[in-house]
Amino acid sequence: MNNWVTLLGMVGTVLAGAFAARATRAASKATADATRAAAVAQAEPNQRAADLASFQAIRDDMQDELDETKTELRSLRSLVRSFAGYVTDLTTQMRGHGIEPPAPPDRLTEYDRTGV
Amino acid sequence: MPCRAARWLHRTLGRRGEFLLIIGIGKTCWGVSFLVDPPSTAGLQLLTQWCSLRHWAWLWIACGLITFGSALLRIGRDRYGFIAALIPPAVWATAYTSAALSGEYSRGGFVAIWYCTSHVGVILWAATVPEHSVPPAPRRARKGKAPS
Repeated sequence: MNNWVTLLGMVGTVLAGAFAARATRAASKATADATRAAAVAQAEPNQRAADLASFQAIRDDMQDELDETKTELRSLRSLVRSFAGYVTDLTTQMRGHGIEPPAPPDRLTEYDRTGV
Repeated sequence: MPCRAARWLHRTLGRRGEFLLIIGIGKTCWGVSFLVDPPSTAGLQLLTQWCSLRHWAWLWIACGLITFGSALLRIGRDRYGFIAALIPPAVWATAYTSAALSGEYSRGGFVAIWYCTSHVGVILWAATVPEHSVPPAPRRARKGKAPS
């Protein structure tokens, strides 16, 4: 009888020890997860600040490109206007000398008609 | 100053370390009490048939010191502290169960249950406690019909 109880006690102790070891491993993992989660939560504001800085840099770059394109467009528009004025002068001069200038290209006719 | 020392101790030991420290001291003292003035051996015949309680006292002292020492270890490495803490109460519970079953000590069954719950059970529970934990993710609302 005593031997059986002793054996049972030993088996119980081993099982309890195994449970404690397993529980310790699980608790260790839970602690590591919690520590990682805390680190991520702490790093989040810094990450957001970094994201914001990146967005601002991208926006500034695009704004610069847009300004450049607008300046170029303005320059081209003034060039076309000045060229159109010059062509008008030439046409007037040719007609004054009895020369009929060639018909304007289709694109120009279309622009005169539609405005675009 | 005592507050700062307590904070330092709390920070150094953590939740699990504090528990191991407390029960380590307790078990060691319990073992020392057997050396100083051995109590009645009623219900412990399973143990005293091998050697006296003065010798068995060293089981409590050794396990108590291992438990105490494990308090300073990091989580994961402290498992031996919990295992060491389990051994003496499990041995005592076995002895009292044996005494109760053989009819030598009728109170033994209750003492064995006390050892299994208030000692072994508490230690097993404490082994599952992490140092820090994150709360579980909130449950999503169940889909269903809205009350009319």
